[in-house]
Amino acid sequence: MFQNRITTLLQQDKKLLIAYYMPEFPIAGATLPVLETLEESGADIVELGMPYSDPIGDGPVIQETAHTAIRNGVTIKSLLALIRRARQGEGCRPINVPILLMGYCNPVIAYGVDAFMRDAVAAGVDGLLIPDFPPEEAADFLRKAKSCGLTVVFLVSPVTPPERIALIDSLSTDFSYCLAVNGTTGTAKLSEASSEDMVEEYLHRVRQHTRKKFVVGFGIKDKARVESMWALADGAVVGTALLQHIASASTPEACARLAGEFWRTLQ
Amino acid sequence: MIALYAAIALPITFNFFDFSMAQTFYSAPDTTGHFGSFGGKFIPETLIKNAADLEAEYLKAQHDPSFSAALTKLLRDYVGRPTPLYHAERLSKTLQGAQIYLKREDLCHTGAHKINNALGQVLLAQRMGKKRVIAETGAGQHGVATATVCALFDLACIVYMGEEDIRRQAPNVARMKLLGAEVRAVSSGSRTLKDATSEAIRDWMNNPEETFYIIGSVVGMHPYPMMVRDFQAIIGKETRSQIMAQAGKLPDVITACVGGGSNAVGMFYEFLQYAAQIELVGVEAAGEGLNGRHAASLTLGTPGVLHGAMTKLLQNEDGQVQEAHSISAGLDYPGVGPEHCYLQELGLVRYTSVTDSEALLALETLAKTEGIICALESAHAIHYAITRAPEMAQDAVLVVNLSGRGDKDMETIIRELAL
Repeated sequence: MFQNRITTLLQQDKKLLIAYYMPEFPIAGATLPVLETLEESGADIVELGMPYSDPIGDGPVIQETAHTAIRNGVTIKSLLALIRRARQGEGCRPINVPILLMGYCNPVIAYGVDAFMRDAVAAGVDGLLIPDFPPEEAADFLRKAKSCGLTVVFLVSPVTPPERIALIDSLSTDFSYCLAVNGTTGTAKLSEASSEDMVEEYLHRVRQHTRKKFVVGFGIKDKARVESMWALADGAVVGTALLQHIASASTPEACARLAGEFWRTLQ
Repeated sequence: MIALYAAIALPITFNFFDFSMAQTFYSAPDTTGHFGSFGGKFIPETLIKNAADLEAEYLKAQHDPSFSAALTKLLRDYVGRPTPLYHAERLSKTLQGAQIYLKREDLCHTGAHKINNALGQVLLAQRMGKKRVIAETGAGQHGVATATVCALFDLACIVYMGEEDIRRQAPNVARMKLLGAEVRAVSSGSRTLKDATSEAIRDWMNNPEETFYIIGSVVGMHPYPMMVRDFQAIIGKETRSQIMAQAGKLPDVITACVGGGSNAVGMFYEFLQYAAQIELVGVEAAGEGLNGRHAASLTLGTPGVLHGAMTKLLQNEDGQVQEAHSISAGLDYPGVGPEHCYLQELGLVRYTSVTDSEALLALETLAKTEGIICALESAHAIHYAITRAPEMAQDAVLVVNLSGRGDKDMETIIRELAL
């Protein structure tokens, strides 16, 4: 069993700021410089997207980044190779930030679930979040991931009933991931005035029915929203806003610079 | 009536048929929505409650006589059921083989079998108090059917349709608008049915509480493949009594086209208990040929997850879904209903494929011999029948599910046949 960086991190009493990044977006070669910068700029965990052609949980921005990543040659195999290089410091400083892979189940199934777990651990991955493996379909996956020491994160949504929140909390190995609103990634719903009380009421409900930590994502785009989520949860995930900020970069260095610049505005 | 659609194994009349297989089959899906290793609910958390609520309401409705009474009345008076089973004597004579019978789903109100399912689902939407309906559409037949039932029940209707399909099915786009629906163009990916379906699922995630999603085929997450099958199973039930009355025997071969596969499973389901006697043949779109671009997921696909179900997909080795191709928008889908994968695995249905040009030829042949212009989708099944009938005895019976009419395809037909 390896030393899981997420498990270690969660022992600290601190609010988490989690980055979501789609590898090789917007250009090939950007992943290692961006990882390096995100770690330096204070990201506590980096979620790396595993691109899929048909991402039903994602809004237009992350859909487009997934298609770009696929065009730039990202496969599970190439992504694991990049993570291995990041961990070993080949072509960058050795990167020690916890890495959570997030992506749809089909590429994982095509790779082979057993081989995927084995290779992910060997590459230096700490955890997995597969949105279309809900508890109903995840028994085999969860057993295998646990047996090799990987963190498994399940989603909670605003329409998840209380008893199911408790079930998800019991299945998630370290923390759960709450969708801030009902919607796809990059949703503007959090900006609606009516949503504030609803989010608060919802996250209080989650707190009541969970024992482990939980973080919040979807629609969190600036420091103000990060702080309001920190008041209600154990961490906040920022993805779409980060990807939008680096979308115009034309070199890996520019990409890293823009990522760092944006990430520091969240602190 | 709905109770009759449900999974009941009817008495087996042939001794040598494997009764246990029929039982296995008629009890699928299991309570978790799996057809063997296919199907299921591979969906993000936001949709879990929606799918569960829908399933609960559907199971309740199945036991509510007022639900089946309302549906039966609409199917009779509004759709025009039962649709005829027509003995295509000229075509049969020309081919000098089996007697070909056409199940005329093209004569349903709105021009295809899709309305059978749309009505069933809109009645559920009404029971659940939903005010907003969304749908995906490929050829536009399901979009038109959904727009129609929403007009009838005074519900807001949004139909997602790929830009490519909007181009090639213009008449159906106009019909949906006339019926009061909003047609939203989908420009992502291949701009066809696959992407329209993804976009509709995203809409449902964004609006899970007020929206009812009417899926048009036996695809997607549980309970859709089961529910859509049940609503379409009336096709096979009618066909069975009609063929007994007209030919005095069960068919020897039954064929239907398969995209997602709702018309095919609707036709086959009643006859699965006789699968040892009746050859059931699903016809996929071979597009430009199986070596080129096609939509033959059952023939050449591999297991994977798309739109919430484990099914057979056209995908590359990295698990990225590939673009399908068919001249008929309704078959242009890289996945297929999970139940078809299960039927294929059990050997109860055989799946073959027909190319774009073969389908066009069949469409023209049927028009000239029987005076029926069928949909390009249905023309795939017609082509199979045209090639199969001459190999059969003249007292043999071959039934084709003529799932839709060809009006919507006239632009494509005019171009391809240089009319």
